[in-house]
Amino acid sequence: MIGLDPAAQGWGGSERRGPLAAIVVADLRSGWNRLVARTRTPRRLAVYVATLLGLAALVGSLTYGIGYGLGSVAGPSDLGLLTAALTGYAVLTMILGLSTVVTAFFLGRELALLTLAPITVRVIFVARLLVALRANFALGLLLLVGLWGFGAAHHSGPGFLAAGALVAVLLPLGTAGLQLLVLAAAVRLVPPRLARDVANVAGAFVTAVLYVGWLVLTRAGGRRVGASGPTQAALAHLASVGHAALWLPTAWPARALAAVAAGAWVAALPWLLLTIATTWGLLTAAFLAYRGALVSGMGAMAEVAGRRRPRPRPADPGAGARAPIPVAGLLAGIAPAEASSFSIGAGALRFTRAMALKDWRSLRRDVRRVGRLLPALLVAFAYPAVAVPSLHLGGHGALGFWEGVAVTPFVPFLLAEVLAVPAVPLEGRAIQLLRLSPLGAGQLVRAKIVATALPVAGLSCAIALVIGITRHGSPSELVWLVLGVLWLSLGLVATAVGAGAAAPNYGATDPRRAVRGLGVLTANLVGFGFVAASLLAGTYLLVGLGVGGTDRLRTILPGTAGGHGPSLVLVVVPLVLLATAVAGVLLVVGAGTRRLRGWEPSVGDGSR
Amino acid sequence: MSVGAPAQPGGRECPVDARGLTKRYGTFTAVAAVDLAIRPGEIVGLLGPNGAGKTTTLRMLCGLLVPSAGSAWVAGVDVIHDARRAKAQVGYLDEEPVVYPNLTGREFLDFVADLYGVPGGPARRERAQRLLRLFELEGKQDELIASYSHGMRQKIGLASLLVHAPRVLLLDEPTNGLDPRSARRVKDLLRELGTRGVTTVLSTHILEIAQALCDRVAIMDRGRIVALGTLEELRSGTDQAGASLEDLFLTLTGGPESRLLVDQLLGERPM
Repeated sequence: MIGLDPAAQGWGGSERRGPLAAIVVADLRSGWNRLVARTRTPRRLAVYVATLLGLAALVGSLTYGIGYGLGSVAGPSDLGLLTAALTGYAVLTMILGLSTVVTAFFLGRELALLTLAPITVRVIFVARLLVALRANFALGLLLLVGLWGFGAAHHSGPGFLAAGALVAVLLPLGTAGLQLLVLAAAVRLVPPRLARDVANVAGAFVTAVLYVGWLVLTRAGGRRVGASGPTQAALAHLASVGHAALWLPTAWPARALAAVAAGAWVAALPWLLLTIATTWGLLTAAFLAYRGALVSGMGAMAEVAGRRRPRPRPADPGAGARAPIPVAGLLAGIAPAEASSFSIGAGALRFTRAMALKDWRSLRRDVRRVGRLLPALLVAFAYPAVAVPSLHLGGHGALGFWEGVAVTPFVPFLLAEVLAVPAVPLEGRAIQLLRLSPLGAGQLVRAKIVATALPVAGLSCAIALVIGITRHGSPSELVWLVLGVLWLSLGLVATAVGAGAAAPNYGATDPRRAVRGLGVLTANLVGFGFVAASLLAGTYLLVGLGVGGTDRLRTILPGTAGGHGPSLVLVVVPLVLLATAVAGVLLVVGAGTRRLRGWEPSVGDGSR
Repeated sequence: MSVGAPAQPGGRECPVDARGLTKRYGTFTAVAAVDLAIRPGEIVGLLGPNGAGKTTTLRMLCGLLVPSAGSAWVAGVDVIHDARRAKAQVGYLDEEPVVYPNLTGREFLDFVADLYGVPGGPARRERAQRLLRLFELEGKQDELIASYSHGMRQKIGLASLLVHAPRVLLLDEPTNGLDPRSARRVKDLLRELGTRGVTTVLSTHILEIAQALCDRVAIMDRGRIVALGTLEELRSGTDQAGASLEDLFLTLTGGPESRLLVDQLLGERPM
């Protein structure tokens, strides 16, 4: 074509970048553009960056502190602890960074563009690796800070810090290689998108299991070992786990670090070299596996070799393949002239039922959302059982049964966070469908509240009952407990749905980003206020009614210490508190409804 | 431009009636004072280059966007002040069909029926089944929409519009992604609905569809309707007897300049 040859137009020359540099620059530029578009104004961008830096400093300080603390407890060359730490890091990175790796190597839309361009697979591999390493290196940075804290506790010299830095680079690289090897095999069996979703589920689940495991470990360790504190007991456990894992390759950098910490550089060198060689080997193998995947088109087009096709259905004789379909006949009863006139919008009950059914079907068929729900359920069940040391079975504290079940509000709080906050925002583009219908914004929000409150209240009451029964509650105490949890569930769900509707991100492709930060913050703050006010009101109420041993609570409630009968305080205070709590909820629900009412699709994508 | 505006706004003789319809985003005016009066059963095509304001006009007519100025009635109901009643009379199809990917085709139609208050029972099931057959989705009705092709999503989107028997259809690129057979089916369907009194406004880039299907076409450019009428009326209005719709479109929306730019880029004319 005349005039469209880049060389003839003088587009090359000294300004031409190498392909790798061009891809990296484009990636950086698109990331920067995304950030600028998201923050919209320079001031908001500055606040965003400052917040990120502040958070990074906070997390870094905490990690440094943990490293320093570990170093203070353990010896400078505690091989078991170092091995456990590095193995734990590798496992965590392996699981948490998996979705980033699968997205970078197999799912990015720009992959098709890159594979069609006249560049080598090596260039694509390195460019994608740099993107994929973001999550691994972020965790690696934390590891480095932790190692520096560990070294600082022993006044280790710069040699330990340098070795730590080298390990913090090698370990993420090696892990990325291993991740890619696993994924290159996995995408031969399942679509990359499913692999990413499963990776996300695994990541969330492992995090929840680790959290619960840490709680169990510290409690069990504290009892069994008889150490001075649960943390020390847990460390002893960790060190023993590390010693058992000395055969793993992750023990090699640990051996190197331990040797450096002991000043034995010569002993450290072989382990460091072995770590470098292993990392190189993993990356080379990963490159070969990835090249194979790209060549077969799986990476670029996100296709799967040997994917199972849907079972062929028997031919529908009525459809008549290519026979003309009688449009006029099929339209009988469908066109408005023949159709009966429908009511404007469904009855509230029918629509709410339809919404609940639709949400339930969508939830159970969406791996990513199930992935968010399962860990929350795990924590919701496990936390009350293991989190509070005073809650061992049958144990009543100074405030009796009510102290034993004090943890139950946590359950609806957590479930509302997971199910109710994103209830409206997760509609995504389909919010357009709902707003096109003759239903008002208030009806939609109310339907979402009812549809979400059912599972939240059901699960919360069931868990509360189990806790109440194991705490030997009397029938009346159990009834009050269930009523209280029901109240909290409804209030928390309403707050969460309202807050989510007030700060939606309908354009988010990742369900985790469907709600903006302000929505989550509002749900948490107002939800916390609602729980606090309700619990206080409930306490006054129970004391006023003299329910099951609540007389003891008179000792801590202001204005109720004298006498045993009902007083004005016991009536007025709970009413004021409950009114305040409800007002807070209604305020948030109102804000969410107004936002939904004012929603308009943006010019570009139909969502805003 | 005002064509055939009735004396009584929103009267029965005009199921779609817009007057001075305007939409501004800050200082940018997406749609500027559009007047549109469409008769029952009529099919009107909105044509125009990208960014001409076609989608924004349709979205204002269905109550999805609140106009910055002007007024609109559909099926005799004020869209701005009585949006809920108006929405019950309208079926709007977005350029990218809005569906729930994790529902099956049948479940999706069922949900939309509940959304619009269509009573349950055998009649509703029969209606859904006919719609599925009409759009050749029988056999795929129990598969997740996520597994549908783009064309099938377009079809289920179209089917969902008819669940509540709307009197007005507002369609943004209705044949987008459809194979020729399905596109033909949609054209037949719209014509048949037209004979039954359903009024249709559709936007399209495919001039052949507009020429073959629409009773009248409105050509939009930079937020305004620059021409509205039958093909004959447009020809006579631009003094281009025998001109095709494409020629008229290019004349009315600045086509020759674009041609010049292409020629210059290819180096065939001096820049």
